[in-house]
Amino acid sequence: MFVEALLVAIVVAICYYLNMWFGYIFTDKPIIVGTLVGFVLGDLQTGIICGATFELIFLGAVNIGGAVPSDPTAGTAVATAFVILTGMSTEEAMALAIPTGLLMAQAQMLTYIFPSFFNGYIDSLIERDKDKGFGWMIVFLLLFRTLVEAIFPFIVIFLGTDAITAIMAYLPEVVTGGFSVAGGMLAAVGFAMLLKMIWTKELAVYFFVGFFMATYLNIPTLGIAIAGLLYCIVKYYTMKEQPSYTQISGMNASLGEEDLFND
Amino acid sequence: MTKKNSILHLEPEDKKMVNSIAWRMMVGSSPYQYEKMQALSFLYAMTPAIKRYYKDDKEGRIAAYKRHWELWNTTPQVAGIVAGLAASMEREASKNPDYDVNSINALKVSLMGPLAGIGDSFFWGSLKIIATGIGVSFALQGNILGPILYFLVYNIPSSLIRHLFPVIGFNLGNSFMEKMNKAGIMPFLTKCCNIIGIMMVGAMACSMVTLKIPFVYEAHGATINVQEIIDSILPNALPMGLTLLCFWMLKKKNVSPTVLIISLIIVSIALHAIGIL
Repeated sequence: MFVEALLVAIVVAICYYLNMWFGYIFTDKPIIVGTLVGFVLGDLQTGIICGATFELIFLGAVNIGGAVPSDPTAGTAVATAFVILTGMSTEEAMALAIPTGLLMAQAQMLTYIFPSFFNGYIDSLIERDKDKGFGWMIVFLLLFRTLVEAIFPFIVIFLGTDAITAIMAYLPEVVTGGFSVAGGMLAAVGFAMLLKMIWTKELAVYFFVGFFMATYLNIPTLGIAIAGLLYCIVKYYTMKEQPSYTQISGMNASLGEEDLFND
Repeated sequence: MTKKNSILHLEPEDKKMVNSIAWRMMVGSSPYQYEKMQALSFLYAMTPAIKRYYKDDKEGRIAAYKRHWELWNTTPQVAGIVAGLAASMEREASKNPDYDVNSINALKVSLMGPLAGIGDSFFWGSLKIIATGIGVSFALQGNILGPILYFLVYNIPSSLIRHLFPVIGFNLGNSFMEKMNKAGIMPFLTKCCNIIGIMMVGAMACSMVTLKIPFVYEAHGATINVQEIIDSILPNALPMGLTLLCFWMLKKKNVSPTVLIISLIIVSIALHAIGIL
């Protein structure tokens, strides 16, 4: 099984890497992965059919805002490989694809924590004006995630199905659960750093305006942006009506601006 | 409309830079992290513009790099339009020393949420479903046309968007900037960017930060559900409180972000272990 496992892992790695690097060209979706796994294992026909079947199963697996409910790539690769290599039925393979997808989604969420540890290094690249490093860091971080994605199908196909349940049982819940709690909270640090830049005393109130619009009125972000835009347009016309402003703004723009936002 | 005024027309010297931005912006989620999300991709995409406009100004260049090394997250396919806009703003900023550079980030922040909303529903909700419908019907019969059609139906429109959005963004930004500069309302506009930006941070802090307390206190048959109590007083109080706490630690206590992150992880695991989180 070593050669087959390696071939499947390479297919997964290439599909995953290309998809991420070119802005979601969807080479990591079951229909493509299944086809390519079928191709390297010498049964293209079965690969295409498996791919289509899993495409429908993973239809709901959308990757939005960093939350991955289930990862379709490794699951499809493993299941398709088992169908072709052991003659397992597609339905049986489904039972393999879904937990693999869930496990890989967990693993990928853990890899989202990893790049933060290099933020200090990127800060130092910026300080030293070494712009070449940015691209290489992305290559490195993506290769790491690709490796995580590809190593699992390799191990499972190499060792057999028992490996999945064994790996699942090995991870203590305290750690995985704790990490997923932390994962939800870490965006707060990023937003805090944005706030550090924009925050002024007079603007602080708008932070709460946005918060209450989202919390109590359940307005989606697009609606809040439009509300903000409309508010600014209203401000613009009120500003135009005040003749004193236009005079001041001609001489000292920043003074006029103070006036405008203190009402 | 003459070709020169077209929104897709670029001067030859801009063309190379904008194309480079388009290709670089595609890396999108590759370096995704919880803290700054896709910030590294944006920094990488902006590098050609920053190197061009701050060619002989090392200080300005480093400041600009820092500016774009901040939280950024949107649908990668449509991210280019903001990169194009940001490039035109950087051009303005490099020429005009009075330019309020914070407005660049404020604009990014105010656009990323709505753009993700539109982008996600278009690419994941519509285009992918159409491609799946066409591709799967062929593929279920074992026809190789299935995966090929799936790939093409999805990628032809999205490639067009990936390549044209940065051009549109750059041109929009430039023509807009010129007009606004003449009218002398630039300070007002940057203020507007900041207002919308901070509103969006407030809104996103409660939708993108998740913190819930599943802990239920039980005593003599009576139960107290902590999260329910918090929700009845002020929903999303915890995500907002956490964001403001982090902000306070960063700004007033000068805690480094890395220390903050590691402590958040340790606290999460500890609290999860004793059943509070």
